[in-house]
Amino acid sequence: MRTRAFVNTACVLLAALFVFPVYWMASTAFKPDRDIISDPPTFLPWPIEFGHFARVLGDAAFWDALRSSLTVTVSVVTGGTLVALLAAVALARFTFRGRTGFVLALIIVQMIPGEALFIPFYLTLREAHLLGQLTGLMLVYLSITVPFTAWMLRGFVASIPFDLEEAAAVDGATRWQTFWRVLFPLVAPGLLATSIFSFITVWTEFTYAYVLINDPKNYPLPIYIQSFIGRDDVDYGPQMAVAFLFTLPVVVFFLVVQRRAVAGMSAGAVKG
Amino acid sequence: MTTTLAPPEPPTATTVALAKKRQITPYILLIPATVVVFATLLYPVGRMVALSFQRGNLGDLIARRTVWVGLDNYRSVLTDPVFWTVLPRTVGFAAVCVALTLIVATGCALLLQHASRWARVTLSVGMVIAWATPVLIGAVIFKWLFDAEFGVVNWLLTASGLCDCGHRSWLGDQWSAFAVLVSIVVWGAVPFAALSIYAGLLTVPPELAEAARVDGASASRIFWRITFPLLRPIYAILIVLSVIWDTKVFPQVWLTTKGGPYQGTVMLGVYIYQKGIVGSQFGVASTIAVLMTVMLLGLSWIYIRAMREEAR
Repeated sequence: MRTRAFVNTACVLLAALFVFPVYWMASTAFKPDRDIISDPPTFLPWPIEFGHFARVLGDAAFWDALRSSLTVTVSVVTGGTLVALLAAVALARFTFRGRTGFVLALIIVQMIPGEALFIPFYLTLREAHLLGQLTGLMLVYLSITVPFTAWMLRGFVASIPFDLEEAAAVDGATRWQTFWRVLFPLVAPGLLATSIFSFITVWTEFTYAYVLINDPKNYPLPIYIQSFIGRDDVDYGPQMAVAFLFTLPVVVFFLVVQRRAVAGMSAGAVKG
Repeated sequence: MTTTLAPPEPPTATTVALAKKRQITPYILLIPATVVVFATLLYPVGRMVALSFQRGNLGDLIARRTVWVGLDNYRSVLTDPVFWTVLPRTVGFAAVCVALTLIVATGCALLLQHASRWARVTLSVGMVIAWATPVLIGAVIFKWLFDAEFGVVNWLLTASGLCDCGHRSWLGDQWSAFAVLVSIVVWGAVPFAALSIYAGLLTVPPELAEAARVDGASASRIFWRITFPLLRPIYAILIVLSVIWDTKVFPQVWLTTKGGPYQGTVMLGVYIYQKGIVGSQFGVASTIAVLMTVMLLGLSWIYIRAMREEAR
């Protein structure tokens, strides 16, 4: 069939178009400087060179940035998920006055555009003497992750049949045992998925980090990557090497949650 | 694959019984989340609104010497010619990005539907890779692709004879800088949209299209008369989400053009940054931020309504 052949060819060409930028990042990272600026360009990074990686890994600022990023991401993901789980259980397992209001607030809060908020964040953190500090950035990130994590987890908790907990309660389990032994294992996949969404959001956030962190010692990785852009020139080799290292965990995690990603994007999405 | 903002489930007998017994528990569980949302979000939003009625630079703010000026900031923003170039530019940019995203995504989704299995997998994998790439990395990569001196795009265009782009400076000209920004956004946005539309296409009963084909309808007629109306809710959601995302492009702009050349690619987010953080005019910056919030909240409202429609 000629149409089928045409459709298949178009698919392959489009796939190449989507992949090429990412390929070019990796290929630039793995080839020596003279190949980066060669004319015609070198399309295959061969022989593979680790010079740029060596340069990045030998840069103390990279390790500072990695430490900052890990500190912020791990704290926000753990803390935020815990806080959100408590809220999710309350919203999915109890009926109480104000529940609908709270759920509505969770949605509306996610709709406030982040790009409008960096001014008040900047001033508030400044007053609290947290401007430029990772603690300040973490608090700001909590405000992004907690609403969408609570919202998503609420769905996960609600999808677990209540009968199980009831049976455990009838059998004499305490409330804490019921939560820990019955609900928690069942909601674990949901916790993993939401944690990954938080991880990706926090790890890759740029705007707040740029505005709120002014001390180079505290730069997280996104700002470190940006710092390769000089006045007139960019040091592309090392920049692409960091970009490659930075993107790797994101892609791996993304593949884990990809099936849920469409749902996740729309649930947590509107705040970006 | 799509999600829905379903209204909270009606209370069942068990939950009601539980509620009576443990009236206080849910409130305790909600305390941490409430504290986080209030302290880190609602307080700053309140600050922003208050500031939009005040005047003061950073020094004034620290010394708490700001002056209440009523609607002065709103008056000056709404009569500021720069604001009236930045606002239409932001809206126009988002409109172009959204339109292109949806057109390309629809094309990709239809291709996925009609391709052989191996080709479908190839395109899906390609899209997932682009989708997984963080926005800031996408911007950094595109800056390199479009580099004036050593960028591969200039080389490819010249080598294929499409243009004589030896050392063309894409970011040095306002309109080509726009083209680069649009391509960054569209490249990153198409995968999500295409896979959503493709998921929707799978739910359209093939008998409908088959019957129309037997009756002699053309492919485009089938799409517009049968497929598209059935997918309308998905498109509604995608349009609203994309408009919201494509209005917030601070990282893409800042990592490529920084708003240049000659302020030609400044959009709302960058403008707020320049006015507030750089220019220390916090009242004016807050006013623009409030206006932006109101516009996007309005859109979000439409989004929630669309989600509700789909849930029904």
